[in-house]
Amino acid sequence: MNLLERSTVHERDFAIESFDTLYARVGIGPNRAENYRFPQWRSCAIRRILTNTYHLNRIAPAAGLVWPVRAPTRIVVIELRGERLCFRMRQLAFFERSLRLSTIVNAQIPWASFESPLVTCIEGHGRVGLRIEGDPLLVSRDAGSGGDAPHINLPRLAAWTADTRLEIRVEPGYHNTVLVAAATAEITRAQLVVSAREDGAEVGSATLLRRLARLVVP
Amino acid sequence: MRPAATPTDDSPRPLVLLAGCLVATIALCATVPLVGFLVLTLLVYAGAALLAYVLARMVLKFLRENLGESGILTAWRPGVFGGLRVAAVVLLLWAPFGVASVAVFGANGLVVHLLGELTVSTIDGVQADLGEREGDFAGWEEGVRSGLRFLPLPGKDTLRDAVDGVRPGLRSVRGALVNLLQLVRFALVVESYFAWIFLMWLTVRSVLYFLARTVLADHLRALPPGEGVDVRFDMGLLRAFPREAQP
Repeated sequence: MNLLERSTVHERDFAIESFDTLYARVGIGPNRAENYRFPQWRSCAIRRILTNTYHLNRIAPAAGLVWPVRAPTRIVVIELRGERLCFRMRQLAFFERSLRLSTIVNAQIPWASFESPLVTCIEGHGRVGLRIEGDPLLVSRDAGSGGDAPHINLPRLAAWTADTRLEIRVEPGYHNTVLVAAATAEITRAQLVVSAREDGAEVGSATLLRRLARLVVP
Repeated sequence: MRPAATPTDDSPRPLVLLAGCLVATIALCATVPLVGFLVLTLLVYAGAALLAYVLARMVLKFLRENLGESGILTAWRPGVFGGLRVAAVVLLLWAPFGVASVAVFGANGLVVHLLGELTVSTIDGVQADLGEREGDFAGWEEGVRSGLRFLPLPGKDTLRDAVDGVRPGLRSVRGALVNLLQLVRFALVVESYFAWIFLMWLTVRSVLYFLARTVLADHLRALPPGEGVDVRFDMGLLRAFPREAQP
């Protein structure tokens, strides 16, 4: 059973009674009193402080407990069995307590041109839930696969396995360089890539002024 | 079969320890200020040394991931006009940094000056009450202060300025208050340097992002239409990906 088959997209409320103890983003999750904790307080500290995930809500699953899902948000639950998954912290919904958070630094110019070199990862054996606005796109691709490789707009990328190989493409032109026009990633190899299928808010909707401001504070 | 899970620690003990260290430092600076300030200064130096080490590793990692046969930097040859245009944008990106630096140093300097005035007036009041001799430094404290002259590290003037105002001979609530004011002054001076470094980092970051996009655009222009540049994620925090496994 590959990672794609172990991933589930939830459009409606789903039961979490079979889950291990969860750490969930504060403010979302089951209708229960919150129990704040600081799991792995040394891991990804700055990123977690900036995304309000340094303190998390500890949830002990019980019979009848469900995780609420409200449209247009979807929850993608990925069951990891030793794989390392890179993801955007702002999309984290929850993770089981057996998983470990870590950070890698990707200093490759094609990646560091558009994204933060600090990439958050999670690994181990357990389930992680990601919040995606709109219908998510889940892609898996072997190195030798024929046909057209799927393209994904970089800002729409939500999670990807550490074995992923992307081919970055940008439109030529100095204006695109200055105004930080979004790049496209062609997935040449990946066990799993999760992205938002359509999300106007994430891509291309920033005003000209905000785009110029991004030049000063990327 | 799923192996037994190793639960992650979510105990607040490390944070309690951190808070305990903070309180102990404040107490140390209030009661034995010279030792407190020396410890703080040494911690700042140790932090700076650690940061320098991490930055050096990052630079090596950056070179390893972008140089070599398939490295994007190897083939980059900017033209004269393109180079001038890039230099102009880089200069433009430095402008907000200059304005923000002046604002940070100005605001911090004003607060440090006001706190200094307050400390001096408080010391004068205490000394007027207790007499000059009570405020004198003991011999070993005089030795520590003169020893600062030989501290071979930057920032010793800041430290000397901070300890100049402390009165370790006074064992009273007012004496401790004076020392705490000096601690706040010291913290503000250190903070202004950190703020400056942060601003510098923000600016360097925006320049690097811009330069990276420029290099990438130039590189892709030289490639056949439809071809991109590979990106991988099997590296570590300070470890570059294995060179032999490059695509």
